[in-house]
Amino acid sequence: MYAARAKGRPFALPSVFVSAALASILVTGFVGRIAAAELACTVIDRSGNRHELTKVQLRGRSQFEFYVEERRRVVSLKDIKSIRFEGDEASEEQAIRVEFPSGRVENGIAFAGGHGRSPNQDSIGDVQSRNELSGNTALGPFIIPLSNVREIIFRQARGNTAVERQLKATVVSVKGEVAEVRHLTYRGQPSLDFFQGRKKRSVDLAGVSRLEFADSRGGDVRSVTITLATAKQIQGTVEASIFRLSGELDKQFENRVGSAFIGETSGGPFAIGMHDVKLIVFHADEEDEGAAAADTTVGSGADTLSVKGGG
Amino acid sequence: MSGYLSWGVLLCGCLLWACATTQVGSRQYGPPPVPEGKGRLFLEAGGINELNFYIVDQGTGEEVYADMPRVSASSPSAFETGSKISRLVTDLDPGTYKVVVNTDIKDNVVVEDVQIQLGEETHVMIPVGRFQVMFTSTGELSVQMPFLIMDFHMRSVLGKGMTSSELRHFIVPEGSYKIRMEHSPTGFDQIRPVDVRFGRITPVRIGTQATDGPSSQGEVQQP
Repeated sequence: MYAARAKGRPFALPSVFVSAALASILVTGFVGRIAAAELACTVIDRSGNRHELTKVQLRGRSQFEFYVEERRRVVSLKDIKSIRFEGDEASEEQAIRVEFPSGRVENGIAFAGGHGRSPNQDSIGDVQSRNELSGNTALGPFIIPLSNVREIIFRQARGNTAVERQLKATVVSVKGEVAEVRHLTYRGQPSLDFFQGRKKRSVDLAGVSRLEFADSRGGDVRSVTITLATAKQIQGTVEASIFRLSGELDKQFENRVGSAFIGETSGGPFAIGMHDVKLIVFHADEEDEGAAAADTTVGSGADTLSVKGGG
Repeated sequence: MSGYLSWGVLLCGCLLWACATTQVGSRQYGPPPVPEGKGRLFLEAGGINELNFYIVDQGTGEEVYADMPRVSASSPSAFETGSKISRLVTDLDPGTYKVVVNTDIKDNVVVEDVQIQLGEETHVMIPVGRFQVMFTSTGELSVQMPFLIMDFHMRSVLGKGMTSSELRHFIVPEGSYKIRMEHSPTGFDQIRPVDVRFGRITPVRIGTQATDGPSSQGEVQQP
């Protein structure tokens, strides 16, 4: 039998080996995955139709930009429970209602694009941003203009995140003024941006126990020592310029210079500029609001430490 | 017949040997294979070859990789190098990571829950785009002019930029912005809307010359 094979008949590989070889080539040739946020939601359009989506993105991003009391907020979609657009379909800006997993609700406005706009004559190439909500359904990709969306309900909203945790801290200014502040944020965001040389980094304020700022000498930057809850210390610098930028509007200048850290005191809204803060000590345990320490703000009877920097 | 066959086999062998020994750059056919015990992460940024980014291990909170090749947007010395080699590739130990991309504005692009598997390649899309400011001056103003990058509703200043005589791109998250260039001594004040999309470069013209339509003089050329 073997001699007959050697004479001329070609050696026939068993089909099993051939199939295995082909399968191995196909499988190991390229193994790659596309990582994407598996964020699922229910979208209700203005006609009342419901769509179940995964891998949701708003305007191409996994964050939602909106404005609350003229202050810009950027929140990850994973930290939101629902968004309801209550404005008119044709309006470029719409009133919105954002609900968080803790039940907290914020009313503001968001850019929805309306029925579109003409490109500016000085913008070459007719590039326009995506004012749409995109995702995947069981039938394939799904895109809907934001102007046609009535409500978005996220099914996998995270709880107990930095956005939800209402940080309480003692803020000391360079003049020695002390304030007990609730809901303390850095420019409306739950994390502090700082620099280490050319590297820009951010740290979640929920994991910080102490912020100590070096004496300001009128420069554009201040040194900061960040002490984490784990007792680890990080050195960095923060921008603390009090000079007005060319083209900066009054409100923008006030927010940038005088409202680096914002929150609430028992007497009302709180704001302090980066050039004016000396020390921030975060409280580890949340106290009852009724048993909170008395507000020891020192000043000319003002309820806030808001400082309007000179330009 | 057997002679031709042997010459044919010899010729094929020589061709194969020549191809195998051809000196090619390691980048011509892509990056090298994934090292043993690692997984590979690709950042897909729509044609952008370098970004300022760092990677944090979500389990330990430690920064495991960082690359900061780009200078500040407001720096007068930055320009596009035209490098064709992508720096947005790195090999990591298997695990779950968070990728943070620093843009030219204060908003970062954060991608969480990036799973790196042993021996596998993982592609992560970074939703950023680029815009370019084409500033033309009649001589009253310098070619290098600072400008502000604001949100579309001009409620907050997101960043600063500086035009350049060289080609320069500004990397920002996808969305709509406005840029404002002002020079008080000359009264020059221009605001332009900028739409940025993934994979696109948006050129925006700003100049001291009027950008209106045809000249009002309406010259007519006689044949």
